[in-house]
Amino acid sequence: MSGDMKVQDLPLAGVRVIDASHVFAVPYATGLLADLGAEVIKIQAHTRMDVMAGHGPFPENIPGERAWDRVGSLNTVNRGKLGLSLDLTKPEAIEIFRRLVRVSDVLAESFTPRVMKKLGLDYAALRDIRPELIMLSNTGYGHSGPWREYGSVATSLEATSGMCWLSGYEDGPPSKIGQSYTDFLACWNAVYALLLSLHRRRRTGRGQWIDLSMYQTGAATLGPVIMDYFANGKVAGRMGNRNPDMAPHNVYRCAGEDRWIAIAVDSDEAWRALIEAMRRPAWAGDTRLADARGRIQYSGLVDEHLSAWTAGQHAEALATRLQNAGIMAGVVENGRDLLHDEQLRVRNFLEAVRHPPEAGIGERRYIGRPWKLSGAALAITRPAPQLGEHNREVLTKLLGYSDAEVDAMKKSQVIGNEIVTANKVQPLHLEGMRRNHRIGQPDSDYRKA
Amino acid sequence: MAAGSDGPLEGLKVLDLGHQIAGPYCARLLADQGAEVIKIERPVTGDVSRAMAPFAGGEPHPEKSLTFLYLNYNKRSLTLDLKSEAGRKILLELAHDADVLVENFEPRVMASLGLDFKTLSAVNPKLVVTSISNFGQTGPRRDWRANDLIDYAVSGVMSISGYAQREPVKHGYFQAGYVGGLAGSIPTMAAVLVQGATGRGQHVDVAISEALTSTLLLTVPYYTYMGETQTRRAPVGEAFGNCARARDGWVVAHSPRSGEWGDFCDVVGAPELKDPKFATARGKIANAAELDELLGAALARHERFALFEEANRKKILFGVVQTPEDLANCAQLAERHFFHEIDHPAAGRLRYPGQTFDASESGFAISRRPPLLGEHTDEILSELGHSRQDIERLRELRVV
Repeated sequence: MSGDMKVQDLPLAGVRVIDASHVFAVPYATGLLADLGAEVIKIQAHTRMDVMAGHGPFPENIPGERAWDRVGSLNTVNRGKLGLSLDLTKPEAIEIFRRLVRVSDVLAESFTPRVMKKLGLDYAALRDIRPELIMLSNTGYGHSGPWREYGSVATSLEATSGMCWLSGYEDGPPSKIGQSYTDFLACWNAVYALLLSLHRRRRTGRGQWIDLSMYQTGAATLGPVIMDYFANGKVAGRMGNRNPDMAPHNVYRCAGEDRWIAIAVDSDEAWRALIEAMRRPAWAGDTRLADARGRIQYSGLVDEHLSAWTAGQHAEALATRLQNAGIMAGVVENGRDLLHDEQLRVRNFLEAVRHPPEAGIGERRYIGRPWKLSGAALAITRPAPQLGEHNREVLTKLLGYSDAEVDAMKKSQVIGNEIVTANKVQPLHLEGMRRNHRIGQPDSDYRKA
Repeated sequence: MAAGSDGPLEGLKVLDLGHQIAGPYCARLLADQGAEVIKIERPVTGDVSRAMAPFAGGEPHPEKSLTFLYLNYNKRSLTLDLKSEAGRKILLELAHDADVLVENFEPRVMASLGLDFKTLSAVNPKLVVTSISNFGQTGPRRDWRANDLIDYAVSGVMSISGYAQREPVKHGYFQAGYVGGLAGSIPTMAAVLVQGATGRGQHVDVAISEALTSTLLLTVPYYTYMGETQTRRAPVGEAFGNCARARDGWVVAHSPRSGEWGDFCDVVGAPELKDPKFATARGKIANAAELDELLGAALARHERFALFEEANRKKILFGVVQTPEDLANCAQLAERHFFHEIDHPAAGRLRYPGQTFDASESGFAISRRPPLLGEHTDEILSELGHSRQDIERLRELRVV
């Protein structure tokens, strides 16, 4: 963490954001706003756990007594925020929320459309008490249309938005790829929409409500594919790792356990460079492979030749060698590789953050941001808050409640620091996951990475 | 939703030096919100995406590439040979009056054209220059060549995608470019806010592969919290939470809250799954093979949209695997006015996907059809004060 960074120099210095959301998309969006210098207050719940909490991961796979504070994914997205826990079923909590809105610039939430209305916290109600408010509502399908009340998570939206149909092996079924992909599309769209609205507010003095549909964020990345259906009646299928204009264009197994190199040849020149790098094997005279059209037609044969050559080679060294010869190549990095990656280290992409001693988490590295500004040193400004960590600070200093009032709120459980009703959270079933190939072999040195 | 004249970025002048997907998408996102975007294309061939399939009508044609058309509406097109001194001079004239410049060349290219940030900044200190590249403007991989396959490989996303016994596989379609363009819009807007407050420009450095790595919200902490490396899954436990066969296509059956497990079993019509051993995430892993058999058989009895709608009405989280055809015909998207019809002199009347969000007072609008190559060259050069003779001379010299 860069402790000496001046928050007042950051692009969003002086902007206050309320994060009333859960799981990944909007929490991540507001976490990125915090990195840009906004003061972000996370509304937490001490009445139930975030749905992702049970999925961990927990430090050393120990959920502990306060599992909700120890979830690696949530601690990534909630970095840089203050934590205020409210039981929004209580009218006192709604009043606190409304007071907070009066002194805030942005509210970002991810409830289904009827929830905020039921709580009296929809845009129409909040605009009356804070006309300049910028409010973002993120839902699976948007606040209008026949699917508006459908709940959703990225797992269902990857399918519905068309991504699964196009992903997977060219000879296999549609498939999920990566994890929760649509959450990140929604996250980035949310940040963009909020920054636009702040820009507009600085020009016009006016706030607005943003109705973000995760479904549309996914479909928007498939524009030409959908247009191909409109224009030509064509339904695109899966291509796996292949490319319609290039071959070779695939991954090839190297020496070691699950080590692979990706190679993409985009010109005949690059192809000849590859043949040279392979020291002109006997099959190099095969004229069918001399141009892209032939290599694409015989891509299976090309892949066989390359696989035979990469097998037994060191993936990292080979990638560097091919890049030096002007050929697109790269190692298929895994989670462990990322934490040891020199490029990411030089760019400080996986930032070290120290948690307070009472959290029992120590120092861990977290995903930073995929962008840098020459005019501001962006960094994670503080670790994710523990449940209700800043209740007193926010309520007294920002909202003007007295200490006695805060004590009373605590007694009546309007606010809280622990989830009383929670079932004890189990550690992850690592051996079962290992059996099902969800994880590989453990690494005992990981705290040093 | 208001018209484009009320866009939040009204008055923002943007130069789009992008090509292919990432740069043009970033610039289009700005254009969609009212920014005035000039797309700068190389003479004769234009943006390389003009040669990318698919094409309206199927046959290759530089004005009919659906990728180009989709990524470049709301922009004007100026052809300019940036390798010529006259072309470079015109670019600097444009930069003098611009607020933002977006480019996605390999990092060494702008400097080799004599257009590095320092030079641009000297011409216009308030200019925001957004550079989108595969690995960023610094570090040992800076000058590595890459496309979406390489970005996906290096990002880590492929290591967990696909089956354990097969090769890693990337996301379908050219997602890396869209991710890069979308990620690029964020620091660009942050820099525009700083520009508005201080009058200072800056250089924005966006790395596509890092944006992809940012999606590994479990893979990274699995390692940093537990020393565990996520891998590609065995094809077991697929019926729940991955694509599974319905009678007429595919669905994703999913419900993360174990309390709803009984409801889930009712919706899919599989009472035999009500055994509590299947109710928890832990139990589903431990009994994955049996779950696949029972749930797989149950899902295969249903029609996919009937199941999707019934499950969602019962508050079960459920997805349906939609094809491009399904998306094109989706009532939800139609009711959200997601598709926009645009007439184009070469490609004809086509339907285009549009906005990802609606805003109550301002926002997305299509005010211009995608430009023909160099369509606005004369208009833009006249705006810069070049005379008709001047423009003719530049055309003869093939600068424009």
